[in-house]
Amino acid sequence: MPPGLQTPEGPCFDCGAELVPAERHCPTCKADAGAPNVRQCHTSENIKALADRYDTAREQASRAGCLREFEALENILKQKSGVVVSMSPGVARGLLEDPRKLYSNYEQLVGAHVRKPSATEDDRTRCAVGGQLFGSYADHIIYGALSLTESGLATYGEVYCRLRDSAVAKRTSFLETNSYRFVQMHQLTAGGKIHEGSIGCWLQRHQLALAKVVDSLRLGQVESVWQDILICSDGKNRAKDEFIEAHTYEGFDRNAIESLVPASGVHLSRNEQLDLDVAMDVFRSHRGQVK
Amino acid sequence: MNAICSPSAGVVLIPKSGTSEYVVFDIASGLERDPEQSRFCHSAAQDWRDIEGSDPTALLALAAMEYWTDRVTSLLRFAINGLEASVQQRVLEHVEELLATKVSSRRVLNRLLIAPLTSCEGTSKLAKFALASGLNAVGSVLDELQSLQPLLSRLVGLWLSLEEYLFDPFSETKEMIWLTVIEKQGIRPLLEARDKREFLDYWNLMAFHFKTPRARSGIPILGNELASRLFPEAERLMPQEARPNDGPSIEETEEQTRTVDIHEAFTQAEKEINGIVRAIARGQDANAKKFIQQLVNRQTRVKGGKEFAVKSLCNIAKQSADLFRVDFEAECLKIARQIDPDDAWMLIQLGDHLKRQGKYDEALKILKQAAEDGERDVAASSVADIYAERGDYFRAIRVYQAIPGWENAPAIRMAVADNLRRSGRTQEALDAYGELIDKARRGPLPFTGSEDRALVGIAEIAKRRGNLDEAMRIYVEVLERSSVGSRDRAIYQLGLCNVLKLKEDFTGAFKVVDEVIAEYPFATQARFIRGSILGLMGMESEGLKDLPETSSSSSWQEWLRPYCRGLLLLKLKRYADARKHLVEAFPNAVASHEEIAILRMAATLWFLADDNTDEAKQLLSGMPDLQDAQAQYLAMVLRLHLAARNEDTAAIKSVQARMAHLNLTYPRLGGAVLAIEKRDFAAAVMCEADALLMIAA
Repeated sequence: MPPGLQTPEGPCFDCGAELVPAERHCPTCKADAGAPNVRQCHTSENIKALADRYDTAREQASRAGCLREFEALENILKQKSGVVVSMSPGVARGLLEDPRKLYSNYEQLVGAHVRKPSATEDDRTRCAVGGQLFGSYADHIIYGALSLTESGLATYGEVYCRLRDSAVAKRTSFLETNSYRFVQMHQLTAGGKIHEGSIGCWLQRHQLALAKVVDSLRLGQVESVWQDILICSDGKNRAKDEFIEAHTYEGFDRNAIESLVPASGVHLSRNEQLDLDVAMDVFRSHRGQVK
Repeated sequence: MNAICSPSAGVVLIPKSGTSEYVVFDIASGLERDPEQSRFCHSAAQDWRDIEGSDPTALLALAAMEYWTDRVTSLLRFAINGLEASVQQRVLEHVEELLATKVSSRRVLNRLLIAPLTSCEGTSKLAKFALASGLNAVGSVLDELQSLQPLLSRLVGLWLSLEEYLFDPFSETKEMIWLTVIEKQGIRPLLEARDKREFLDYWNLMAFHFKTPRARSGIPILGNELASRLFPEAERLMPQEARPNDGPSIEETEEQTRTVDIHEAFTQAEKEINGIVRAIARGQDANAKKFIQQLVNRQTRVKGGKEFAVKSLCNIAKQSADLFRVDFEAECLKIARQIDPDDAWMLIQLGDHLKRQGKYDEALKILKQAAEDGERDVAASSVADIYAERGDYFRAIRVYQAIPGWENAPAIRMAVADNLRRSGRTQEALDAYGELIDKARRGPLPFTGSEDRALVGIAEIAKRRGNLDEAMRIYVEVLERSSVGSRDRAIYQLGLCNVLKLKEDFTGAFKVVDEVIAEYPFATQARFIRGSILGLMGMESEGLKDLPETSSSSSWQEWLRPYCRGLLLLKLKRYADARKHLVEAFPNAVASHEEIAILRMAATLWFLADDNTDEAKQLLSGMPDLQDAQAQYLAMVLRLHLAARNEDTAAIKSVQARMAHLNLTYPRLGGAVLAIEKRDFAAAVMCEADALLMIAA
């Protein structure tokens, strides 16, 4: 394991005590041990498995004569990829209203198992998904997508909100696909072990992405194509979405937003359009970065 | 039952009966939301709140109120902090629409008063912009928000300075208690409390929002501490009956004017104005006059203060007129004119006041001056009002339609429609009202509030055509609407009262007018109407109490007083007294074209009662065309009465033929016709007097 990466069980860098995997702070000295979802990626088994997947992908690209493209994409992933969260215009407006407002996730919305919405079997499964992947800290996780640009998934909201790397790098991990599909695919059960090599921290995101998309690499491909490979969605059906899911520990406020762009081709109601325009205008005046 | 709602997510989770699950509803649409979709809802973590209601419908309604309040508050905060011009315009228009349809201004203002603004400048500019754009609800909220800032800052400062031990009884944090005040109770009444008692009366209601007995007992302790700091020596400084508010005395104020900033001065003046208007409304005239003088003295002592004094006086004058206290309206405008004879807005108000007093020539002169001083369009509109009052409806319409942009001004379009109605061009009037209703429902925001008023115009047309059931239906429908403001409500109630009178439902009419008088004790027109109804119910002497012979003040529709009084006296057979009111007062009456015609008929009746057919004939020969069906019929009955007294068979037949052609039936007038045919002229006079009491409004 590379030095400096805290593992789920520790020992704590500060006091040497054993860490609790689901807790951010050391139970003994209360030092910040790092986001538990990120620590989850730092087991030696996962690091090795991911490195192996990466090496295999690289060899595959080389055999296919696409090594140049592989390396180019690797550079772009390291330099340009980041987390994009999709949200409704109303939520975007609310988030920009108050610097103290935190954006929170579905589990918090429905109250982390306390407030159970009446739902289909799928929904119950979804409730379970967070718990199966993250255990007791599931309601602290914000879901997004790994993106090379400012765009995300229109199926989850009409506004794309790219987060500043510095705001999320230390507390974000990635899963090779949609968590719902991942749990189904691997028949993951509560307390079960996540398939090794399928998750990665911020520093490993290029490995995870390259291992996933190597089959789609072609000779002569350029950057503009790779975004479509990394995030593939028809904008309507979530079941058909293909992407690398980003998991950011705990919410974020408006200062964490790097860019805010509307999803193209979506129909907005009059109220939503106004919310969007207000959010964009406020963001523009705050950051001067809206494209 | 309880539910959980998130205004930022726009959802409410309502418990599913018999399970521990919740159904997710979209608040804006009120529709159940697909759980698959709602699973990806996100929200601000802080805004989840529990709500309580009797059933799912009540919970949804409550959640909707929270949602729209939150939305309006949020958008206004953005607008205050500054948005790009076009976005800001759309935001304000949207908020204006929501304030008219979804959420009350009072509720929004309470939410905005959560903490003092960092700067009032943006709010002030925005309020002016909104008002200039015709977004009156938004402008009003922002204006009040700004004006309450000094008081809010003071209260917040005191709140923050409260010692921690005072919060020991509470499990809630200091911040949560403050938020409870804002969200559950509203802070504005606390800011406007005039004394410690008023403050505590309101503050102590907060106890209901806390669940534990300990917390409830802690509320009065907190309140007492705050009130003591807010009103440290209030009782000692000034006796209760001599102060319009808890502001300082003149002497103290003079001292303060050196240091007080302009905004504080404005806030203080606003409090004083509220106190003065309260005194006027309660009939405490001596106090009101004293307070007005104090206010003027204080404001004019400050450099540049004359302008503020004039504005304050115009403000009081306007509110006095709304309270039907035209005496105070006149007094304030007179003082304002002495301070600044050229203030254009004061001149407009003065012209309007003179117009309502029937001093048309003087009003026209004043309005001409106002136009020269820069208020050309408003002055033109008031001039047109005068032409309309004089019965020159077409000239009025021409003047209205010469005002630039009149098509986009709901008030002017309404005035045009009203004048079309009064002039007898009823189909054109109906079309004009219809357009206004259409615009109110679908068109631009300034027309939003036009529907109720336009419907009332249509009701008046139905009344004039003798379709009293339709007129009543419309009035009842309009009065059931929550969108109708209290003063408009009073006017519409009087309209309904007149329809009920014509339907001879005097008990119903009395009930309606009595409600108006309870709300507006100085509404003399309402008192005149009540007096006339009592007369119609056979209680003429009781009715005369509402129609005193003399009045210390002029009032709107003053002509009704001698008219109704004269008719009641006529019914009581006090002919000499009746003559004074019906015949002698008639030439000097200040009334519109149509009203003069009604007065003319009343004078005619007196001469018929006196068997002076020559005078009666002369008055009837000068009778103008009438639009109102019952008034037309009454004029014919009087002609029949005259012809019968003169035993002019040809004239009798001619009038009878015309009456048959009208094919109308009015019980009282039918009774008059029968009495005339039997040559029982005394009975006919009674029926005709009743008919005159019924049509006057």
